[in-house]
Amino acid sequence: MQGTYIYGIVGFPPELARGIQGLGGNPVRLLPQGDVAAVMSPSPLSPWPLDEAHLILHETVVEDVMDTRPILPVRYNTLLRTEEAVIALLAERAQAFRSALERVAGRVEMGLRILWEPAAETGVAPDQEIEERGPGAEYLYQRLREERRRSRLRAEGETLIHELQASFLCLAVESCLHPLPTKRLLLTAAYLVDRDRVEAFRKLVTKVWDDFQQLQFLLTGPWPPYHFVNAPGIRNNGTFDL
Amino acid sequence: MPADLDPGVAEHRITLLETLDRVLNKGVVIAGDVTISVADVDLIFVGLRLLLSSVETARGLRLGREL
Amino acid sequence: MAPSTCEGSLAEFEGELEQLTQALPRRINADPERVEQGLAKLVLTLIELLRRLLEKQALRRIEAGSLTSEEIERMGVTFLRLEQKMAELRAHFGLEAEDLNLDLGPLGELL
Repeated sequence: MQGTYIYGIVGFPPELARGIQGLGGNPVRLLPQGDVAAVMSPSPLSPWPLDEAHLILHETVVEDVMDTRPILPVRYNTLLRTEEAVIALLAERAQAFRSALERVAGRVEMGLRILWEPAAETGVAPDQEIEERGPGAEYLYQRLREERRRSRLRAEGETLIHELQASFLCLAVESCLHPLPTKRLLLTAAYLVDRDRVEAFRKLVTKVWDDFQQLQFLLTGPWPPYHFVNAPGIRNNGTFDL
Repeated sequence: MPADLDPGVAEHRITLLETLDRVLNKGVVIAGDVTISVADVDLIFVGLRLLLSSVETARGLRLGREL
Repeated sequence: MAPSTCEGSLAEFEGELEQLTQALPRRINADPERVEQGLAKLVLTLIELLRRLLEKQALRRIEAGSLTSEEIERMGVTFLRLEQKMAELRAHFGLEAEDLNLDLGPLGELL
């Protein structure tokens, strides 16, 4: 088995608390460099399949390690050719890894998605003259109506999200928001919450939901801190707003 | 109860989708020098170098740079 | 831990999640084609980005009233033709509209 599969980054020491089985039944171990280590297992040098069993196994390894110490989860199918490459990677990014590990220590990620029913379309705007229009103009005026509606919705959504955030941030250390990712979703969000406040956070979400009966909430977690591996202000979940 | 109305099944599917979204698209990004995680995630970020690396891999060149 | 929500909306959340994750690949990409398709995706995504920017510009000018009806009609027809051309190119490379996006890592997605 020539290559190295990486599940996550942890601080070092200590060694792993117990034996964990990784992809292909290969044993998971730590490859340390200074005070950080890669959680790895030997692996053939070809991508693992994208199926439920393998993806869940990867996630299980990360969660098992997270039981006893902070971990920065790494993306699925991250393969490096040699252990030297892993060591070099760790050396190069040690500082960033260290700060991230400090930031997530004793904390978990809670995932929240919220469905809403945006108000129905109000019809033709009054300022558009009904006149003979060619297909080109018709297309652009249609797009104009769509864009105006989108702007209104976005503004409405953002106000609502702002209101909700005020409550959630009482119990979350950090948040990562993706507003209006689809027509039906008001929000996809991740919250970094102290482990011992997870229950309180759950209760809080339930209470907020009670106050916003027109919305549907989906709360998942605890998760490893997938959305919080980068420094605040650098989030891998934003979108360009055109 | 039809399988797709069974809350247990829907919950299971949601858990899977949420897991998928995280392990495939989130977390630490490392430019492995064999392959990048699927779904062309870092195509633009690493630029054409990434495309080349998947071609060059076959020739045994080592391009294990982090982002 | 099981997701918590009201049972009635589980199916809806599932639907939205499936849209968002577009998870498992629908097509199997043979290796030699993959590089070509990857390049096509890159190029077409950038064209799509430009198209959207230009369209937004046009809409702003319509709202500002700085275009004549003839100009609006001409621009509209051009956009329609461009959209058609894009659909042809996508089809040629086996790409769906949803495939045209790029993850810029910390900067999020392009489109």
